[in-house]
Amino acid sequence: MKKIIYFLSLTALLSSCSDLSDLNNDEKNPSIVPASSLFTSAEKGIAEQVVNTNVNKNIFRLVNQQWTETTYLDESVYQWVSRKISDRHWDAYFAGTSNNGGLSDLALSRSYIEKEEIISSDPDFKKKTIAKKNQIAMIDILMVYSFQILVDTFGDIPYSEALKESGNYLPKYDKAVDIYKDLLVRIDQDINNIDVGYPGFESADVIYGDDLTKWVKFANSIKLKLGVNLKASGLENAIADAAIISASNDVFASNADNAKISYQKSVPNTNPLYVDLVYGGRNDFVPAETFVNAIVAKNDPRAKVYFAQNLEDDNGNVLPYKGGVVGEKNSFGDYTHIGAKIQEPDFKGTYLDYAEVEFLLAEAVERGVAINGSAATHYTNAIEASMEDWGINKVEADAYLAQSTVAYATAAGTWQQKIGEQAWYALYNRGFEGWTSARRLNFPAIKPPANADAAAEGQVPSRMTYPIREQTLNATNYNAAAAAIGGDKLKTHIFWDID
Amino acid sequence: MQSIIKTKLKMKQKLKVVVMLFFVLASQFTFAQGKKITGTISDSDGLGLPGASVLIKGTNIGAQTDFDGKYVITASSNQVLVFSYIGMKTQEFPATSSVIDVKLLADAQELESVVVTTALGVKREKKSLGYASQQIAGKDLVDGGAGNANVANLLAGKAAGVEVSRNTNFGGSTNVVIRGNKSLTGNNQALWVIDGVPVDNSNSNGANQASGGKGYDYGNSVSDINQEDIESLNILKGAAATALYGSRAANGVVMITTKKGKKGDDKVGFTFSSGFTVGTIDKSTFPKYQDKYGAGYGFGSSFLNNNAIPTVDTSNDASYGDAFDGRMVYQWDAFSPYSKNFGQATPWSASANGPVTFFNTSKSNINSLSLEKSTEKSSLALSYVNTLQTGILPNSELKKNQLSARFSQKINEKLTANAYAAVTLQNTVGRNTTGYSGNIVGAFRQWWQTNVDVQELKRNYFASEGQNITWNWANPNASKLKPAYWDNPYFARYQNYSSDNRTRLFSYTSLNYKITSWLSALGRVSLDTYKELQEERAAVGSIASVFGLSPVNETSGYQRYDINFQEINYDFMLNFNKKFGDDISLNGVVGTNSRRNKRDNVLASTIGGLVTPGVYALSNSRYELPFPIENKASWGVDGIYAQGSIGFKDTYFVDASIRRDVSSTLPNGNNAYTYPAISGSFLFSNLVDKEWLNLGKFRMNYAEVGNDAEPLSLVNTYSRSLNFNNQPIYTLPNTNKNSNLKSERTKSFEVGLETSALDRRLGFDITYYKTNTVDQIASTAVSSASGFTNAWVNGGNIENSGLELQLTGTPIKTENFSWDVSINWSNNKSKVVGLPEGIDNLQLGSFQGGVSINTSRGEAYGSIKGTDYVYTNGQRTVDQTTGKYLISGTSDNTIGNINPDWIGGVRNKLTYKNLSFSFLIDTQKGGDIFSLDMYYGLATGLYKETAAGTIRETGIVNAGVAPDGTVNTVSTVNGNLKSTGPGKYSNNYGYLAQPNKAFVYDASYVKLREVSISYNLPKSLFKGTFVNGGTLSVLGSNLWIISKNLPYADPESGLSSGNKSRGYSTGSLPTTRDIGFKLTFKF
Repeated sequence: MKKIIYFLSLTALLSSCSDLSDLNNDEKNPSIVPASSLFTSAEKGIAEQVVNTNVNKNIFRLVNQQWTETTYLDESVYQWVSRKISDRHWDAYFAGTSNNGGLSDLALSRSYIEKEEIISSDPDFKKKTIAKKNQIAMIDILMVYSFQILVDTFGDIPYSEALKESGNYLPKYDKAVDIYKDLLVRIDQDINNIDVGYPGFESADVIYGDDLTKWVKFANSIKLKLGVNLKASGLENAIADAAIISASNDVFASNADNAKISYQKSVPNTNPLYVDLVYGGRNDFVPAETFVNAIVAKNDPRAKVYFAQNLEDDNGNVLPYKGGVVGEKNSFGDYTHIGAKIQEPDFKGTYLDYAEVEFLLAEAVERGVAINGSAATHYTNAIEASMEDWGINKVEADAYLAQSTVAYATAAGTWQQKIGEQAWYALYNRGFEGWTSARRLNFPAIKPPANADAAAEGQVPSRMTYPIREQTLNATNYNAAAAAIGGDKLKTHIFWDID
Repeated sequence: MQSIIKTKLKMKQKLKVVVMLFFVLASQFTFAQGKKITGTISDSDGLGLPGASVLIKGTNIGAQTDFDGKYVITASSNQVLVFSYIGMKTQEFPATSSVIDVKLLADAQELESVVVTTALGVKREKKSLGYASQQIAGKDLVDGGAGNANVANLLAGKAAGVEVSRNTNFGGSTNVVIRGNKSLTGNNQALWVIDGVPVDNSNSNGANQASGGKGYDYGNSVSDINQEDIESLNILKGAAATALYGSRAANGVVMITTKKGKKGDDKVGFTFSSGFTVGTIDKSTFPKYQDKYGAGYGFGSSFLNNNAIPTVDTSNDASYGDAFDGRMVYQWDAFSPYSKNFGQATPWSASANGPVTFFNTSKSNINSLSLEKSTEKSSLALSYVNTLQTGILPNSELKKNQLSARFSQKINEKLTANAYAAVTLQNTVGRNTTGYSGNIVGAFRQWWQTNVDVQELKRNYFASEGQNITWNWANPNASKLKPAYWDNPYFARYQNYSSDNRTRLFSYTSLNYKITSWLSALGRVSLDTYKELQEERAAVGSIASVFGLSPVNETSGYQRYDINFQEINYDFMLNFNKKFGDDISLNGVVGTNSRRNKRDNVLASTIGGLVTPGVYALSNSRYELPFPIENKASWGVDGIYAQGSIGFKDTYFVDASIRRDVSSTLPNGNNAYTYPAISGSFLFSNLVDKEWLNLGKFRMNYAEVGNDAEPLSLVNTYSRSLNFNNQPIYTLPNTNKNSNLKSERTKSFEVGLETSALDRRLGFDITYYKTNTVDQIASTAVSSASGFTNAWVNGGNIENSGLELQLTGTPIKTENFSWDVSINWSNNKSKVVGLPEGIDNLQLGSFQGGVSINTSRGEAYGSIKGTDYVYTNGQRTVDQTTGKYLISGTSDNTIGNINPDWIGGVRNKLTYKNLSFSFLIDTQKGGDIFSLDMYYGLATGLYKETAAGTIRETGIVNAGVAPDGTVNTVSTVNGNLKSTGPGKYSNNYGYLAQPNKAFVYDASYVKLREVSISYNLPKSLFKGTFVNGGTLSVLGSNLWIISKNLPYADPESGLSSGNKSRGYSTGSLPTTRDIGFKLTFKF
């Protein structure tokens, strides 16, 4: 009997002997990773959101009427709620997606680097110390870049209380203009902190391959972009002028400086456009009539890159380009298709390019900021840069520029119209920046389709409404922000969009 | 290790005390004089009666039965033994033989006395319990389920307070929630227990599936339980009843007692049963299509050209096009060389064979053979069940083989060994796709052309030997045909199918040692383990969609998900049961439980498509495989507990228990928690001498249950993405973990009244309960501006309160005929009293269509939020330009709540001689459901109401007011969408014309859930054969939805089990009406 009792008691004892606290460890996934792997993740992730044309995530080429849709018109007519597009756009920058990083990965990468201790006896002490500073600057430049996109999309956003993780799940929103001012302070620091004689993230930098001179130019170009928007707001003239002037000395000077990310030939590391347009096998988009007609009217040689010559008559003769009508169903086979170049799997993804910078400089001159060069020169440079970047030869580009409808002196309209329309042509495939440019300059003059969603209140949207998640999860701060900007509506203007 | 040494030392000390006690008691035991007599005292069903007494007549010497109804007494052969038990007729036998088994029969004059199995498998007299429980006999359970492969479905409508949501998925999961959702975002499923041992009931569906994305419902794993083994099932509802199970029992327990070999006649003991069930779709749960207009979006949009014989624009997956006029047109099949219509024009008309013809008759065949036998010292129950089920979708099949054995052996007078092992092999092919994208039933409900003939699609699929000849060509004139959005549905079913198999072993062995007549010790080790493989396929040539680990949509691929699960429980307990004199009884248990779980998953998939069509292997990937996702978690809980119950004069009972757990999933320092329970009952019927009152009991209890976190919830870990330009990428997961979690706690209070009257022909049981779950551990959506989209938080208070009513009656009872009725009704009201600090709203899910399901302070759990109408003086406001309703600019409006007001069931059973007839009506009142089918399907013009009269041409005048408050007179056709040219139409309904609120429907239903006719074949039939008896049954389930408000779908249809299983309906399978026959023979 005793044996049995022993047995029973033993069973119970054995069972309580294994160590509980050892059980709760994740054996398969690391809790600490190299800071550089998070940086690469964010570089790729941010580019992904800037570049893609997925109807769930990035619909800006449609707002800008460069492209339109074939069968499902929701996004072209500003029905953006059903697919929760605001949520996805917001999340992609703030938290990243399950595959790609955003601001949260950048913040984390920075905190890892900040915690790194370099011992003074380390033979590479100096190199490592400066590299650390460089890395933090690179991270911050991408953060500034991302925050600007968020402000330019929504207006006021969480900023000072953002990215605090468990420290604040209900961040308050800051005024857009205040965020702009802080971003300018930050980008100045970043520029000052970079020492181009030393490395940064080395091969983990997939934008410039660790060319820090170019990072400085990239930072200055972002600064210019911030400065021009701020200038347009009329709110902080002195700050805006100073930013534009100081930045203009070291912005992109040629297409060689462009901030682009290289894609590979095979999925999933192809350009996301290839996935959305080719790989997925869908025929959702065609160039919009508004845009096609404008390009054709000006004999723009980029047409042959922008568009495909797919329309033929019954005898096989090429027919003129025909863009889809915004707000109407466009049978894919009946309209001009998107050009082959941007559908290549390894077509580069653009963060910011030289043409865009030159347009901003031209605009800055017109807005009365004392920088080098005339508006006409910057305008011409911008168009030439765009032509070059799209692979148009110099002869064709010059011929284009020589036209009276294009040349700065003779082109129709105000400076806003001249720059605005040319920027629109050049920012083909740069949907978001194209929209920003159009909102700021009020050109091109695009009209909402007749069947636009009621939410747009008869106008081309001036912003995106805040994510549904913010409405439901962060209601108090959301409501305060909505009230502060004049209503969470598509027609509410961002602070720099004053008319 | 050091950190918990203290805890362990304490445990060890306690165990030492327990063991010492064991020795002391054992050594004090002395044998009396005379001859030893043993036996079992059982009730009329052969179930052992614990605590029954045996008295030597004329003396004070007596003994009590143990938990299995076994007794030992020493008496001389000239003495007489008196066997008695409350509620039973006392019997006397001379003590002549050494084994005396006694079957006591219920005494109608005595009190009702039912023995029920309570927590940890302890049998108790129901009358002594201070909490609500509801027992269902195995027979009543199984008889209701025509061809039902999931035991959870059989609970529907049978117990008060138990909400069973069985969705319509083939082999899909069923949600069982007792007394409402207590946890904000965690597991709210009842715990399933077999003979005191917990059974895993997880569902391994992906997160994407659960939030309405593409996926399959792989079912919940209690479907592995062998229904043939169920002797009885008892539902323990409140925490007081379940606290001894520790953390996991906060949601109530479904206790299953397995069949033991019964002693009986000299027959062999075999039971053979064979059931065959056929199912057809309930057409009220499938769309009724309009037959006036065909493919397209707007008048003039149906055709690609204006030729004499125009070509249909096959790329439109909608039916808002030109009116059917019978003219000859080229349709999708004119472009398929496999079609009889190849190159041929066909009339422009509604198809003869719509999507409803896609569904097959489902068939299910369940055969079982079982053996029950017992001898003096041992009992044995064996069963084998074979299930073969095909679904209503083509290429769907579920096979199940279940083997189980229960064995009990008396080793000597004191020691008994028990063992149970059940093996289930489950193999399923072709589950239905759930969610919004890639779901062909979703296409039928949301995106379809009414001119497409489904049978023609079938012919094309088979004639082309399996090619994707779709109705939905992107461009029928293109040189290379490809689908636009949808595959041929037959191609989708036969080529892009999932398969899964699970091999599961559930077993326990226990030793029971009777130390004295009133004290016994039990040691038990149990194992629940399974290995599961889920495989998903996309054939070459499919439409691109989300697939596997690829971040991009794929046109072909293969994914495998390997799951290994294991749970081991070590239990040791001491049970005591003693009477002091006539008035005081004491019983209880002291024990320890140690549980260890392991779960190990690997998810891997191809990327870039498949190289060789038809080969579903990882190595057939176009590009190097993405890094597989590996998860491995181990967790455990060590618990000690004590429970005691004291009874006085069989009238007053008090029960108290306490349990302390140490969990591995909580941080050190916060990982131990203790929780008490106390309950009392008072049998007032013992004090009033009323002839008509058989039993009257008042009961009350208060209990707390602590709960831990999910494993690996404390520390963030990174997930690996594919290298980019040869650089490794790690990204922070979207959910922020929390290293400061503390245990959550459910506090519950319950009061109830139970009566039985008029010769027990009328029974009444009413319970009121209130539970508060505080310090919730919840994973919730947070503002992603924080850097995370989700986070583990800790805090809050959710309150559930409700009434439960059970009424049983036998209005007619004659010698040959009886009519039994049982009614149950319950309501549950939930209220969010508090939320974790730093959180304003807990979001359970957000879905396609822009709606979300939430838990907000001050509201009930599960509010649906989305866009609403704009109201002017309480009236819906109509835009005076377009004639459409104005829609709120924000999506934070509460537009419904998923919780029902009440649920109830009525079961009637009529018995005439050998024939019995029973039926169950099951009702849910209230609760809302958002229909994505209506949201899209009304806009794409599929449904009948979109083509009423001439509303497409002339529009409708929406009821409501203009913004100035005057009655609206503007028609929808007044908008710019009127028929002024191609592509234009009046868009009256659907997502482009109405807010989310318009698609929120009342989920109420009344269903004829089960019907069963059963005939006991007369014994004379088998005279002279080895057959001992037989039963023939006709069973029906889900025969008739008597009433519902959700159009074209079953209001119960959800995505799967879990908190997001109700309130959102998209692309669900229609409900299957099952009728089956079952023949049972005993020999």
